[in-house]
Amino acid sequence: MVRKILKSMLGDNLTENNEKLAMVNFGIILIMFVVSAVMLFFLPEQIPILHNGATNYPVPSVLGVWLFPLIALIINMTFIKQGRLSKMNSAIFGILLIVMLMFYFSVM
Amino acid sequence: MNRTLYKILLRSKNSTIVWISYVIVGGYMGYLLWYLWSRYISEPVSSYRMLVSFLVIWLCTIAAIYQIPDQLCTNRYIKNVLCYPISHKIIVSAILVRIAVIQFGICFMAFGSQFLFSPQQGKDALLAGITCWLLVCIGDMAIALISIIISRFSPVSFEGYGFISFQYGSFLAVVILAVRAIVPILSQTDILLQMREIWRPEKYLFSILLSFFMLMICLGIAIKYWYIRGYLNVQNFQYGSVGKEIKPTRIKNPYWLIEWKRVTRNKELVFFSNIKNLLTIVVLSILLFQNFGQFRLEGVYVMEMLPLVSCCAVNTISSTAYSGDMNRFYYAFLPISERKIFLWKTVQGFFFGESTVLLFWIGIILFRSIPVVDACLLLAYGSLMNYACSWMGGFLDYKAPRMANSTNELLHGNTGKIIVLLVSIALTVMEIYLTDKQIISVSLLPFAVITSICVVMIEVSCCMFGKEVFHD
Amino acid sequence: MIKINELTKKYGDKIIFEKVSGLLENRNIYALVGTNGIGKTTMLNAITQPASMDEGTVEIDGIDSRLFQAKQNFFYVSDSKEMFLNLTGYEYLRFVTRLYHRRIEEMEEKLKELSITFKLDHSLNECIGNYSLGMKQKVYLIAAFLSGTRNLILDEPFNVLDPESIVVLKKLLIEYKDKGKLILFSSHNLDLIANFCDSIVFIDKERKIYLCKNPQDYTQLENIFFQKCV
Repeated sequence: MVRKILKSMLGDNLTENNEKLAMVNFGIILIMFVVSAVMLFFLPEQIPILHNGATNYPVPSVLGVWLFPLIALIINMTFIKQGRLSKMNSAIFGILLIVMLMFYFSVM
Repeated sequence: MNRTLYKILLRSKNSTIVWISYVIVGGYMGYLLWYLWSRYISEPVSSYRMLVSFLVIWLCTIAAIYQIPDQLCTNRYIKNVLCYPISHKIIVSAILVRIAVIQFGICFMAFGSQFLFSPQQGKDALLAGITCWLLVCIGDMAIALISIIISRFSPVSFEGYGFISFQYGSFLAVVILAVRAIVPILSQTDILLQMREIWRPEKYLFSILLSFFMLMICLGIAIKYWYIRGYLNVQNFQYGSVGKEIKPTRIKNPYWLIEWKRVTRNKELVFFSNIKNLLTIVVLSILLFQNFGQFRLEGVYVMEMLPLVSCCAVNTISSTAYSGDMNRFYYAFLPISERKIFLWKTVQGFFFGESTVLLFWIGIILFRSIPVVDACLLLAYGSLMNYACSWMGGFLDYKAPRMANSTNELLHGNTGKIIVLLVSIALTVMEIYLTDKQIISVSLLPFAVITSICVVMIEVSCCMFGKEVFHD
Repeated sequence: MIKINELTKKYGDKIIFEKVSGLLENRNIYALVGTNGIGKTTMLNAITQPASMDEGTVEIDGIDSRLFQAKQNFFYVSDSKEMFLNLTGYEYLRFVTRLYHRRIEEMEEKLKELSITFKLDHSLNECIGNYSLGMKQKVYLIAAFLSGTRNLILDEPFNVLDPESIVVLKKLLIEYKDKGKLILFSSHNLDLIANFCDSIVFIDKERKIYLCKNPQDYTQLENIFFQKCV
């Protein structure tokens, strides 16, 4: 099924190599969603996702936790649309996951 | 048949999962936007509906400026269907309708969430949403009309530059306009109230509809008489130099030769790319400096270093090093070292980027009184970061080259540029932060030079010792 | 029928054709011959894409080629093999059938027949981008026959085909001609031309059109070519 979805997204650009990479990217994004959902139990009620340097603008964690995974998802879609699937992109998603975890631990 | 045509013209894949993802992301962003405004701006909903309209129009216009000329005039796939019985109107409307649908989605996402925050004003939100979308469509048609006029009436040898001037000029204009409008709105909310009094969608709906239909008629005429000829002119842009005699080169090094020829094939590309970069820096500087107070990035030479780094980051030559190189497909079966070709691509990017750095640096030493040592350090910093950014841009394009739909090389490489810009700005901000907080007891400029030397050394060693990186 | 009236084409200052005229009639197979770079593809492009001409007119079956209706009267297979790569062979052929208003049931039958003839029946559900060069050419040629138009314009159609497919194509083209239709194709293969087509359109060294009947003899044809074109 995953292959079918990827085929419909990548069309003739789907090869064995980028199929693996696309799966890795989606896997990391899925982990981001799962981690965010789990972190909801540990995070305070309000988390500061926006600030302009001087002031923080906290939002309820139920709303704020999805920002990172969704940004990752949109980046992934952009990469797929542009036909760019490489190890480098997977590394970017890995970094995003680490940044997200660091953020959660800093606000806990 | 329309679905197949979309597939041919726009390489659209129409995947359900992609659309669902966009809907989820759009819904979330829309909700977040309304939540933040309802909580942090102490004004009635109708006031910030005005702000949402403004943001939506701004976002959709930026998308249209980049998408429409690219898909309508420089799109090489249109050529494939020209000798089939498909009318020009169908080709143009397929492209415009597709963009209008995406923009409708953006409008829907932006205004739809208002129902959750203020359900009793749903009718007003609906009206505002529709007005917004109609205005955006008017903008789309105007952009399409201007694109057709440029393609049809500008000289063939100027077509590519005409498009980039139009796209880039309007992009800059829209960004400057937005910054100038948004900053006062956010700081003085009474402006919103005043604007709310002036901007009443129901009052202007008729005029908007009238302009919509008028523009539609004009566009119809332009498509009928000018579009195809204009499109073919744009496709012939690269053949402008047919029959011109080119002097034999004196370059002996084959790697340098192949890269030099690739970049200087259009000398104007280099010239134009640098002008574009300088303009980007001016706009970026305006944006950054306006917010410096809030970001607390204060210190000696901060005002010089950030624009200088931005200058280095937006390097078209390096960010299109591979995606703009059609020869790259042949490297695999020629005795060409990937490492060496990468080195020369980086050097080439550095060389052309350095002209911008030098221009900027001369501007700084002319208009600001800087001690000689610091001026030299600033130049060293600029040059080192220029190499570092050129390397990064080239590397990104090497590892993930974009399959470009457009025949206009000046339109490629924007994603690469943005990534390099983000990384280099982040590095500079880190340097500023570390010295400002006195975590590092060296002053900013020498520390930045040392850091950039380290970055360049890491990049060079990656080239020299990273056997896995290049497939030699 | 294709009628070319005083066609002029320039690239910048370089004149490719100047006031070239000619008349190609139905029930004929014409071969377009000329040296490399003389403008064979430019000529075919000018016939099929009137907007690319600088001056002159082209009439296809009596209809000015600048009018949309003229496009229903010809099918052009260009020399590019990089078209419609993201469509499957079947999607592309269905797309062509709809453009030329052919009946789907009739098309399905004909498509099946042609794909078996060209040995492409097992690959039609793959993307054209994954095809070999010869397979791409075959799918574009099948589209040409499916379109059923009165004029077929083919740019170097035999170039990448295997010997078996060349024989098949020649047979199909002769059948097509016998239905009263016109075929214009470009080629460098004088041997093939001498044994196959009815008339030859030379683009001579002055970049003018020289039309002659096929002498059906390779040596004679070669002599004309060297006399006119080299």
